[in-house]
Amino acid sequence: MNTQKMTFSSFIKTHWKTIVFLGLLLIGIALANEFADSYLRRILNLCAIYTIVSLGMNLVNGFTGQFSLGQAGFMAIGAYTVAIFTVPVEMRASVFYLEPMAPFLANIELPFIGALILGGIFSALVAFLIGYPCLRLRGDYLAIATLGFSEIIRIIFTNTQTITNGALGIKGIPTISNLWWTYGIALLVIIATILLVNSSYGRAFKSIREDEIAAEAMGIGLFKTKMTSFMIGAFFTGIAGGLFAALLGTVDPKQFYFTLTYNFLLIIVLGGMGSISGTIISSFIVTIGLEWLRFLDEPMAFGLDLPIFRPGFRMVIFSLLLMIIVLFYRKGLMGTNELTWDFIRKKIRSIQSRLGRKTSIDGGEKK
Amino acid sequence: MTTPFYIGALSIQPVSILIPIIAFVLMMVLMFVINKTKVGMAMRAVAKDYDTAKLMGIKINNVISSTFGIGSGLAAVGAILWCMKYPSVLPLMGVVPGLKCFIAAVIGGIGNVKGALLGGLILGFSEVLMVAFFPALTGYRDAIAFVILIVILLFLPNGLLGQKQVEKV
Amino acid sequence: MSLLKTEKVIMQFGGVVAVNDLNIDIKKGELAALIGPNGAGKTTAFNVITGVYTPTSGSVLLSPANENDSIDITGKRPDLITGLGIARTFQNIRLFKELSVMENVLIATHQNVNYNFLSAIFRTPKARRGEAEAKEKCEFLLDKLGLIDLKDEKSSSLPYGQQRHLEIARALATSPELLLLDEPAAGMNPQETDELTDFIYQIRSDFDLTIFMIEHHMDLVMQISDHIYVLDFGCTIAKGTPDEIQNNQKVIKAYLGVDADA
Repeated sequence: MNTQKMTFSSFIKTHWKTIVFLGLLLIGIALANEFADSYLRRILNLCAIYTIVSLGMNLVNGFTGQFSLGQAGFMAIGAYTVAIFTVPVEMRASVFYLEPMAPFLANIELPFIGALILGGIFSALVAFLIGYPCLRLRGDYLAIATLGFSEIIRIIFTNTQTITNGALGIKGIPTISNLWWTYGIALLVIIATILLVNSSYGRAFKSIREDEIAAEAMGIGLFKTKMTSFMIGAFFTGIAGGLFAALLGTVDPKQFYFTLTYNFLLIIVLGGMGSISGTIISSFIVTIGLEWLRFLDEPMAFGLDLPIFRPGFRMVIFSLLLMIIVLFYRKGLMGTNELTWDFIRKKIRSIQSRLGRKTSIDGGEKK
Repeated sequence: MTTPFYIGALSIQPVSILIPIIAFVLMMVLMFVINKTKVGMAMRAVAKDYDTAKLMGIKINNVISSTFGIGSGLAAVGAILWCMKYPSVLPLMGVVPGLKCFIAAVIGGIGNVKGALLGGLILGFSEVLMVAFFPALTGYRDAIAFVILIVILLFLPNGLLGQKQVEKV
Repeated sequence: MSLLKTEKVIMQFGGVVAVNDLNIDIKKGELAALIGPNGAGKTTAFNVITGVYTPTSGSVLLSPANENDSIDITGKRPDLITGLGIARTFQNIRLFKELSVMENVLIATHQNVNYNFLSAIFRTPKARRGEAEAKEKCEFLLDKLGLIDLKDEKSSSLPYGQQRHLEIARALATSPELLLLDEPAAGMNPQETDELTDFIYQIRSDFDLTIFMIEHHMDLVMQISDHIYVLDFGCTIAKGTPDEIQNNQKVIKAYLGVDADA
């Protein structure tokens, strides 16, 4: 970040490629919103939502180096907040048909954006409660404790019949999430993350990832800094959960089983722990990949009467993928690098020179 | 094995007695392996200091593989015992018990076999007793493990029997 | 006036007494050294002073310039102690390896940020000003230590000697009154050690520092120290000026390894 004041024209000059790219993206969203079928739209929406969750997770796991696995729980909080506060009051009796909604909630209805932000805030508050005992723990202890918390949240939601409608879930949530909402918020989250990571706070996060003892000796309060990162991550995740609820129109506890967190773990490991652009790219790859691999879930027999493909088989493939990445490609797509125009230029150049060398050895013409 | 016998008004299935006995015997065997054999010594060395163990000529990969093998084997025995008591098999039946086992190990103190036993007992008893005494909380059965975990880690970050690790600066 | 005082500090690990009855009194502005054979408990003493370990008993007192009384810093959190004006380097260099030279130094200024993370995200004028000031300060420091041309390099790619310099730069960025150097000359050849001597003199006068260091190079220690403390098996066996230490029988015994019962 340049601290000198930038004039408008110099800003355009240095960032024109990014501006053009964003413009194209905007047109793309508009086109997709108008013309794409609902299945494609839903996948694209999911891509954006997963991007938000994964960025929140990467902030904690990749940048601050704390192995947290509570994402599903934080998403559930955001999703349920939106569900509880946006279902129209007159519809609530039919949704909560087993037991009526608790009276103190039954007549509160919030606008979507308000419920969304409230969901984020609730998530962050729960993150504070979770973080208070857990962030003092190291590595795998933190992972298991956060995983446990996300399970507790799910179990609580399954049992609080008058607030969350228990195992039945809440139906009839106004499906407000469209591509503008999801991509708009995803963009805001991306920008906020970039600005945060490149600030003094971001450097403090990274110092903890690199060496806790040295960070502490440099005056970084470990607990406070970890907590900041953890709460911001949870806030993003809560908002994504809210978008998720308003996309599907229904929430129930089974959607937020802790295996959901593994999707995000796969995304950040594949994209690169500590890379924002890597996270975005791999959110798209993983989300689209999960859909595309759905054919593996269709029954299909090879030779004999032995069905190889069956429901759940795509998860086998995905687990294999994760193992391969971890074994052979530790740093993921981007490592801790960012996909900037400079980075692309360098990559293209190195590929060109490699190709050039190869063709010249073959005696072929240079491209 | 599942036909119950009676002591007074108590009806007891023989498996319910067999399972703890087998578990206890296996724990003894495991402790023998870890504390008295060469492989066990190598395991402890690797746990203490990975790099130094390597320098001392311990074949790290072999040790890790054998540890993994022993651990997986014990998990299989556990599953068999489970199925003797609850005879039904599902592909995903291991997920929640697996998680709880990890919690039991953490509660007892990672790296301590007796701690794992203690953690397992505490978890098992508190789950059963909670449901027995507070039937209203039955839905929260799976949550109790995590609650205990967090409460214990809050006061004893290394678990009940775990040793404090001093990081060298 | 004394800046740092330890009173009867004992540090036990299980049955091992790493530091036994440590009494140190460092005057403001002086250059003190802590010497002793390997395993004498020197680094442990540093760790007790900087809060990495809480001593089994005894107390550590700091008298910063802006306070009238001395503050008891025994067992305080390391980051708080750093905030009170003690900075340190590490024996086995602990840089933030994946980060650039500039980032390494900037991190040490984070304790002074007076804006919250939201201001940082929104880049409010206050945050911009803070960031600019921090950058200016770090560039000044890097310039002083001859690292300014390397500021965008990854810190782990620096040669060993410069990594040591960077550690000192990073410590200085916390604006300390007392600088603890843990074997600054380790792994240096005689010429580099000479340069280090000048360098330590220079930073002491430039930043108005009190320096307390652990060192094995006796030439260096004898040349620059005002006071020397000698540790052996956790006990302070001698303290005094370089001349006194050089002629102290106990010290000679500890170093030359005459029978322990002699």
